[in-house]
Amino acid sequence: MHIDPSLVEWSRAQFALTALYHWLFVPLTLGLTFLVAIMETIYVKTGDEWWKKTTRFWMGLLAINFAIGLATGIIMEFEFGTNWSNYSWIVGDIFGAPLAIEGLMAFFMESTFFAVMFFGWDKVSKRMHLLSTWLVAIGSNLSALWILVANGWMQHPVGIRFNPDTARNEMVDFWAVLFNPNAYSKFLHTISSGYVLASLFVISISAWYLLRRRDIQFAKRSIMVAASFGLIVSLFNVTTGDDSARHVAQDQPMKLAAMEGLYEGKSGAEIVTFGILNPSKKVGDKQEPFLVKVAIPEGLSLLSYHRVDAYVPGIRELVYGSKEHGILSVAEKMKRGKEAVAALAAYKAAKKAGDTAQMAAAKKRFEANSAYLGYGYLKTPLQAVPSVPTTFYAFHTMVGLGTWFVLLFIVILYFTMTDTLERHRKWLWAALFSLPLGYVAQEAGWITAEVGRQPWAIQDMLPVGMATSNIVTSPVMITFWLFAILFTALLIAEVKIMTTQIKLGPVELKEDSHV
Amino acid sequence: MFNSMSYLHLQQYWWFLIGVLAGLFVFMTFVQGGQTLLWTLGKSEEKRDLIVNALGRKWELTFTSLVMFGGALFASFPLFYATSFGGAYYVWMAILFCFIIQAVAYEYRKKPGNVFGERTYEVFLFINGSLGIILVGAALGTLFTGGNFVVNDMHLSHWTKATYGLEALLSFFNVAFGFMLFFLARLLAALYFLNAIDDEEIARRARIVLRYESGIFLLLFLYVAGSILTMKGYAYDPKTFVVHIEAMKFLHNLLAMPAVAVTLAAGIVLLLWGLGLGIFTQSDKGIWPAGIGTVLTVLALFLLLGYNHTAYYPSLADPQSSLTIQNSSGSRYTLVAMSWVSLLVPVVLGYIVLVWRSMNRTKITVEEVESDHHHY
Amino acid sequence: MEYTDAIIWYASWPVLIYIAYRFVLLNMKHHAKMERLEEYEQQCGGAVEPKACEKF
Repeated sequence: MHIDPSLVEWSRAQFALTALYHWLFVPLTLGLTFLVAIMETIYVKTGDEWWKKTTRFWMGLLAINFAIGLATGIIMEFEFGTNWSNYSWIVGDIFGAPLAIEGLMAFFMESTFFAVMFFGWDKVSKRMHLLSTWLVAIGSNLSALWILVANGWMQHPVGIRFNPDTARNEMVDFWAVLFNPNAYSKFLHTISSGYVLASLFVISISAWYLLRRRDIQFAKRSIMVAASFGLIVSLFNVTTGDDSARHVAQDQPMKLAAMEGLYEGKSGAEIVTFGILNPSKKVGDKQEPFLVKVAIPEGLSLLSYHRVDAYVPGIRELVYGSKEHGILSVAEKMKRGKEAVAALAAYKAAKKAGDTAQMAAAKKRFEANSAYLGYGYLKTPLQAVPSVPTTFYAFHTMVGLGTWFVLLFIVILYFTMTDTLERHRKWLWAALFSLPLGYVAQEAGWITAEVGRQPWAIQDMLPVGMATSNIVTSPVMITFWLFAILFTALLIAEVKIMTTQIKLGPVELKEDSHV
Repeated sequence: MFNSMSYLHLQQYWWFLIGVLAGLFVFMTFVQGGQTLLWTLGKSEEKRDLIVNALGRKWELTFTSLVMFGGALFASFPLFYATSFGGAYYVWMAILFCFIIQAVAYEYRKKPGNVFGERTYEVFLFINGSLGIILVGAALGTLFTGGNFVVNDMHLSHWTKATYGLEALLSFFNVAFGFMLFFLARLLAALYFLNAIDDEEIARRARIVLRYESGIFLLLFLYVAGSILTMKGYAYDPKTFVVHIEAMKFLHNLLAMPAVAVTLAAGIVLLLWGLGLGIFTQSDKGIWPAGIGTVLTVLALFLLLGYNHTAYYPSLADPQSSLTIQNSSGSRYTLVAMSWVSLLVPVVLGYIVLVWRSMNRTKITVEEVESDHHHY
Repeated sequence: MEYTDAIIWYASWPVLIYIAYRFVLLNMKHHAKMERLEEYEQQCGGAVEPKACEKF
């Protein structure tokens, strides 16, 4: 089946655009739901109305964010069908399940109890309301679980078997899919990054109040909650990031090489903490990959394999192969992949003709080569290499910012607990500007994960070029621009509404102050 | 329990669940119907706020039902997901746009600084409730009338018309199906308002809507039901899976499956009873029989479509490409695994009912809306 | 397949939330005391009878 390359690019662009927008809103929901749940718990434990009003203020901001998260989210699910129709058939038997479970287990919990959380203050008991708030938090995070199980599976497909009769992958082990190492490390790293963002959100807005010398007590107490929460979750975020990178090293060595700009593999590979890539560097040439770099010797081997002398393959070895390290070249994998594609076609033809002997022979040939099926659709070996600059810079931006957030939480928490926060206005400014950085880190993490695994929709199995719907390009172009316009308009409205609410501040608390 | 079921029974079980989900979704479209009644029933700002807030406690459930319907289809009948969504591209995208704009409208409508103004968000709600539902109806209509697709022997599909699904709107049946759902949504909304809102003026106007629009709905329903029972259907041979066209296939299905016939009859009677309660009595409970009736009727229509060796999504371009519950489903393993998961359905329905009861224990009033800082 | 690792990692999620929540409570106690520091000094600073300071 011939697929127009421009269709693939537009389909990717549309998916990237919608995912990028969706990802602006989801992480905040993942974390802020827990922060308001903690604040409400404090209210229920202490019985202090002050905390109820504080909870309600942050909940108000959550609702604004939540609505646009839903708006940008519904499209993600259906796009697998509308724009990635081949994908939906070839792996739908595995991929559909987590999406359905997500709906049943998470979305209903979220949406049912969301209504109680917002409108049930006077309709249900205090404890029932608190339970609802916690269930919204758990529900939204469970939806992250299932979607990341699905995503983790795309990065490291397990628990499946290719069925030549139906020409698709079929699930043979549900538990392998759920307990996929790539799934849990992605899930934990992603949700904890959401918690970090939510903590930054609360701290940043509160810092703005302090800088404006208004709502002082509200701001300080909010920072106390958010910085405490933020410190713990950011440390966890670093731990899961490390775990996540180790799984990338094992399952997606090409992605790791691109993340690190590692062109030549070696034992005891260094880790580049800061670097500027040489733009004219090509795979396999003799040029230095970096113009400038700061590196920690043996760091990459240590982090990836927990051994200082471990061998880490570079892009060159992964493309051209290495006998010494038992790495097949992409050209060889392509040869075997094409063999698998041909065998599958022969199997289908033999089946049509009712020739069982031919069928058995073709099936045998297919199974011998099926591990490289995806490579059969590549045109050149270099197609197997993702964009190194995009992946490298995105990854390093994420790691750098993640480290900065840990430091920021430590400092802000220290100042809060010693009641010296207002004196350190520079740190308040730093906290304020760290919120946009939080969003940058979020998108950078997503780019690392998704650009770094190109050209694969399913690692080694299905390249994006084979995964699209079989339609002409123009409908996708049209919807791309419609999404770009609509989502941008909604984003503008969201930001304006959010900032208006922030400027108004915790109104309910003020109503009290003159009593 | 599920492990010992035959593949066919699992496929039938999942088609049943898809029918139930579709039925629940259609019932929940009272939210959309209510959005189109905003200006008909709410003659002042505060009355409109009241209506929006009565719907605002439920809209996410409808939204989630749609998402769930998509997810369940993906998991159980992935070939339909791939063929229809990837082929009837414009129709599904248009439906999605109608739901995207709904998702922000409730929260942003009354908020200061919402950039586009209150009226824009009300228009969003209206588009969602009218165009959105009519298109959903037309798309459901194509399950009876078919789509222009071809599935190749690798099970990859493509659409044969450059209008990518919009051609479905040329079929009078599909459009009538859409308008039937549109009016049904408005009627259910009127019944819901009688049940959920404490306001005499809105109740009076809701009963007027019921009186006039029930007639329109019933005419459309009679046309659609009559067409279905007399139209040709795509049947397949259970052994060879060869598809052939059969006159009055759905009537034959109805006669061959008395349980479905009873479900359909019960659904219609309950729906009429609910409408009657709203029109001829002062009762505010009409939403319940009408709601259950809707679920049963939609379920019965789905069972007519998918059971008894019928292609539930006929291909007009190549009849042998038509989708049946047997050739489009997930693998046996996946259906079994998902069937275990489906045991959660009663749990989810249970907590939805409990929450609904505690939230709707007393009817919503203008005062309640005005006194809440967080109101929509 | 061995799923112990996965189960332990998944279980760390609720543990994380619980630890973070306890840490917030711990800091809140200290923070609340600090907010009342001036009041504390007025009442308890210098030689005031110890009973007045018990609530701190």
